[in-house]
Amino acid sequence: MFAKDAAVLQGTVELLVLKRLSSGPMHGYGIARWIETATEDVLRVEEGSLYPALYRMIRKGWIKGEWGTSDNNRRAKFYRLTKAGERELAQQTHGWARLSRAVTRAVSSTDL
Amino acid sequence: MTRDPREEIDDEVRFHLEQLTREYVARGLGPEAARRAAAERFGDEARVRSTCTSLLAADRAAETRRTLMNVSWLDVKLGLRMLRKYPWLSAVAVIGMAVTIAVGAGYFTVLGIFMDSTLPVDGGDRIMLIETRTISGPDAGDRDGVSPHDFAYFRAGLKSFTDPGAFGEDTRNVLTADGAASLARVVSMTASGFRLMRVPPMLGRSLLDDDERPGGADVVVIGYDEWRRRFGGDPAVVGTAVRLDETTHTIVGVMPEGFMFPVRHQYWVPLRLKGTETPDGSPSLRMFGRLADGSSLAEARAELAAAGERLAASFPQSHALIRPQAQPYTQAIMGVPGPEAELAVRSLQFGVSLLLFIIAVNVAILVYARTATRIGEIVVRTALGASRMRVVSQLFVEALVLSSIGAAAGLAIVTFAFRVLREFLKWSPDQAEKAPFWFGPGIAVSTGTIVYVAALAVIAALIIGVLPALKATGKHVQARLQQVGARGSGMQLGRTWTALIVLQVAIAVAVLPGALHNAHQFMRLGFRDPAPVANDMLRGRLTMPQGAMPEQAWRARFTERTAALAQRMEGEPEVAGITFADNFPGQERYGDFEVEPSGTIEAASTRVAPNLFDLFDVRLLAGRGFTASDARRGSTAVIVDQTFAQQLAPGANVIGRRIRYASADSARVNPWLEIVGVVPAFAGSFTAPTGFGAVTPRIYHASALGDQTPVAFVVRVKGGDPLRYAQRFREITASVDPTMKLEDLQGVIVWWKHETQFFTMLAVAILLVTASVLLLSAAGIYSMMSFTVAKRRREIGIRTALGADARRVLAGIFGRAAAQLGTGIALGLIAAAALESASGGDMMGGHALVLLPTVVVIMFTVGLFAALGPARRGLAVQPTEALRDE
Repeated sequence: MFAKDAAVLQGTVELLVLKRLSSGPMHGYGIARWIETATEDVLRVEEGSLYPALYRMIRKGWIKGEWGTSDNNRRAKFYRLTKAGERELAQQTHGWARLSRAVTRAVSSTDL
Repeated sequence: MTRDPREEIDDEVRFHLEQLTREYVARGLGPEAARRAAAERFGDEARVRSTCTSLLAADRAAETRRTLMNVSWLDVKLGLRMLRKYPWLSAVAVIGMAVTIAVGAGYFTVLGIFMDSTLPVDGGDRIMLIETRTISGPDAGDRDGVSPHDFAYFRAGLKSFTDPGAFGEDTRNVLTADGAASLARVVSMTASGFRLMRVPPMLGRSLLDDDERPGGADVVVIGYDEWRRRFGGDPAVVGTAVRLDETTHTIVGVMPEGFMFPVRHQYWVPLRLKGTETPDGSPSLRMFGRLADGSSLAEARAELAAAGERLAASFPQSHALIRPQAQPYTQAIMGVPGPEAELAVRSLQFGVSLLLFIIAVNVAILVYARTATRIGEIVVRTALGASRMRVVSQLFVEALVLSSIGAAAGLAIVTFAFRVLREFLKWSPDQAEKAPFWFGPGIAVSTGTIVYVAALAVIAALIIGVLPALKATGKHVQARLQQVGARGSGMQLGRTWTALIVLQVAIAVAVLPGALHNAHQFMRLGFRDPAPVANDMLRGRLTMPQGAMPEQAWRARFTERTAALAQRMEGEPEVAGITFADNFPGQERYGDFEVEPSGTIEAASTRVAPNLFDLFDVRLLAGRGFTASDARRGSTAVIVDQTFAQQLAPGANVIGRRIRYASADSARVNPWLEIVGVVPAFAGSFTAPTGFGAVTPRIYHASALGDQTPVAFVVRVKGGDPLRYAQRFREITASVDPTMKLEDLQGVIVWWKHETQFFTMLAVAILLVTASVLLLSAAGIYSMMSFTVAKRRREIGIRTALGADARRVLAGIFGRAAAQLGTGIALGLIAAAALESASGGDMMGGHALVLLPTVVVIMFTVGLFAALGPARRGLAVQPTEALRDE
């Protein structure tokens, strides 16, 4: 998943991470699996690049990482949304919806 | 726990890869193929690791900065909230700490002034004073100056001092060219004193070694203040003449402002040794010197000791019992007894600081009990990921808030106390004039004091906050998680804390008797009533500078003018009478009297005008009063007070008994004096006694006007505030003789209040400290009891449910606490008895039989009251409720 041209899709990855974490804490592997499933593997590239994105989001104060225990009883770092992250999700979702509506309208327009 | 970022990222990446590998294995790949596939899917592992590690490390650093800045402010707010939430505990802790910190800071500051070993001049820490000290015999420990002979000997021989010098001082009449006269303290000093100070003169020159030559010109160097005051700041003053007593001196220089070495002097004349001094000369000089470059104080002391031994060997008659000693100049002048005293005084400082330690431990007990009630909060926070350090630091900051408020209150107390003390000292002009020049602004809160107080506050916060916090966040904290739901905290008031409470009760019992006794004594001194007639009296000293007059003519004139003044004053309509004495009653000289047939009585003696007893409303108890003929020279009649009579012959008639001044010189005996009358012990009703030992016996001689100068006088008015007439008296005095002066003119009652105020202040200080110790004892007992009740709530509930009488259950519980209280009291009593015997009976003044039971009653009462609240709570425990909590 994740396009090689990460710069273009960085905002998209962040939005997806925020979206996933809005339903509860999850570790990096779990987030990668959810993105793969939810996007029907469209963004399939190197999963490792998810991590720098996560740590940048921590620095922005949107998410927090805490160590916990995974389903199969392994120690894993779980990320959860902060209040700032919730606000960011709402904003980005709104922005994405407007953008995609606009782009969809533009590309499907016959009025050239 | 904070882990290394690299390790943390490694773990995270490893977890991801393992999960991916498992996924591929589940899809049917072999382990090795699965691992390869996972690695490929993950991408550039090394790059991810390094990017994430540096991002995480940067995040950590930012977090730490944020924590230090924001979280500690949050902690401060939490601390303030805690103060509000536990107002009683906070009040007790703040009061206890404030009083102790005030005592510590006050002692520290005053000590600093006295112990400061540095003169405020270039290299002032190396300037020493050399004195002699009596090493054995009845005067052992007494300090004195050095004789001119010894000074010459030391000056010639000592290598470890540069610029050795000496000074002697006396009071002389200063007569300027315009005829104005004044008294001044004139110091005869070696020229080296000026070199020692390294301060150049402002005008002309300072003294030179050549000036010390016997027969040299009479020169004087004057100080800045006198130059301005007496010489109008005349820039051409150098070369003019000024008379000091009979001798005309030429002014050769003016020293700059602030120069007053050696003590607070303004006139310097050369010290001249004749060169024929003998070893038995009187120790009239004080010797000083600067430690030579490369010499330490210890080396200088060793050299001086060797020189002292040589003197003692050469002149055993005069020097067998005395040895020279060197001490930092400032300390010696301030009267710090000797090198060994410094250690004693410092250890006392340590003791005073220890007092704070005890108080802080007490507060820690209280805070521990409070922390115990918050164990749930601590456990939950730990579970949520707060590190132990974080929880401990929060509790530390909370404690720091508490101790800082205590410290601020303590500083406020000490600032106020210093203001009162400064006013007190300012009032006595004598003391202000004699204070050494470096005494500066005097007693005030200094930067050093504030640093000391801040250090005390931090140490107290460490004890108060960190001790309970470490205990509460110990390794069992996880285990307590289960207990949090229940009301019991799961924390124990362990053996250490119980021992501390017992110890603190013991200390309170040990120090209480002495404190109560002293406070009572000071109160008695502070709240004494003066004689009613004191309200109508003005007192002061009458002086008349001798100027150029020959001794006899001057005395005759003083006698004549004093008599004229007395006559004028008695002629005033408001004046009931005037009387004289060499010293005001209560401020006499002390001496030993031999009594016939044998024995000695230490007593104070005064020479009084024959009419003094009448004017003071003192009625004779036996014998007769003084007549004019008793005032003649050679008269042997004396009047003693009742205290003296009681010591001489309890209950018997002492009229006609003979006494005489003891003489230190066995070859010379003083003439016998005959007791002709007995008066009540009245002096203590006019001058507040300054000690609370036995009342001093007193004897009175009759004296005629003019026998002594200056002379103390008392004017009694017919009513109203005597101070109203002060100005009138000054005018009359000036009109009788313009050179005559009334000094320290003051109402007897004003003086009295001033003297007693000091004792009231001391009593208040002692009571304040005592009360804070008691308060903390009560608080300690209270928290112990509260804790016990809280801990055994369930037991009380069950036993009550089973039909036990709650009172009996409670009695069982409190029995243990009472036993601890009893142990503390018993230990304290033993300590008090030990202290009493160590102090030679001074601590309780022989009132142990009254004081000790009183203290026991006080402690039990305090304990009882402290236990009341917890007991009520214990009785209120509802069995059903207590059990439901579980």
